[in-house]
Amino acid sequence: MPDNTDHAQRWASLITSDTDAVVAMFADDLLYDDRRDVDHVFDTATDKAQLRERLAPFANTDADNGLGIHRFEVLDVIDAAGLDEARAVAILWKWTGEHLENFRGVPAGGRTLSTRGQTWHQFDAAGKVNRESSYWNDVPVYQELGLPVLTPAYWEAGFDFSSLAPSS
Amino acid sequence: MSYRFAVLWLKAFRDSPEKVCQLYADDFLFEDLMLGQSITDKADLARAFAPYANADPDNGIGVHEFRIDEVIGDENRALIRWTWRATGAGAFLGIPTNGKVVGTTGHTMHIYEDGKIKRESTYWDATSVLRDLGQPVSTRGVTAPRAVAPATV
Repeated sequence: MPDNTDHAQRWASLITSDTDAVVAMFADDLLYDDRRDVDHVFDTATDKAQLRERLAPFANTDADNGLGIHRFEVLDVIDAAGLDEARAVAILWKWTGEHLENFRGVPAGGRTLSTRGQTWHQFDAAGKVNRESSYWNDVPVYQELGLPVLTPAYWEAGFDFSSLAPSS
Repeated sequence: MSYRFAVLWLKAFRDSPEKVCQLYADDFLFEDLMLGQSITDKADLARAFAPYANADPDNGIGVHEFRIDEVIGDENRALIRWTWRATGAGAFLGIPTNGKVVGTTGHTMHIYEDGKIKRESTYWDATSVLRDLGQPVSTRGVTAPRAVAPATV
């Protein structure tokens, strides 16, 4: 039985070090959803060429070109279940990016950024990843970069909802 | 669990926080880190879900509609992919909506025990909502070049 923790560690390591090797972990008939917007053209890679385009920036090694130096750390591995009893896994990870010119279009000024995300992989019979669904928690990064994004702890007992009213 | 369970879960959001809490084990971990939520207490969980049961389109909380897009799993664990939109929300993540309908997609990992949700880990796409509300963010990847906010939203 293949080990999902080994898979997660290998994926997290190769994504930032060897694009060929991480793309080789996927099946040819892959379906890769990195978030989902209104259109699949960018958000859903359906072949290895498209996948390579999406993953290559994470293996950047030039600290001066603005693409950043990236690192993924596996925090938790959840044994999941795929379609038709296929093997699957959910990987909870922490990302750190250094030397980024921008983070999702927001000027980052080269500062070190970090956040968490969740990736789900399903495997085919040959052990290749044929589905991925990934989402990032972009919110704390935007807060770090100065966007007026608020996450008040409204679920805590005694929360003062009047604090949400716009200040005048 | 099943697609049906996932629909019941989302319908409970709309019904009442108490209905939602009944679907969770007594000993549970609920995480929606986008909202800063890491919850193990049912009273906190009920307060976290309270806005989703709002039915008044005029009070600024918004009417929150969810749909299940896909459920992949078995009786012990499942990945649920979903779509959300809110009408009448005065703001989202602190950004005024100016009357816009806001929405996005996400996925939730569930682990079940004795028919209840033992662990939940939810992630969703905040960037497309912020883009739609005029923030200068890009939906073209982590390393996308500098985005420009639209002149009007």
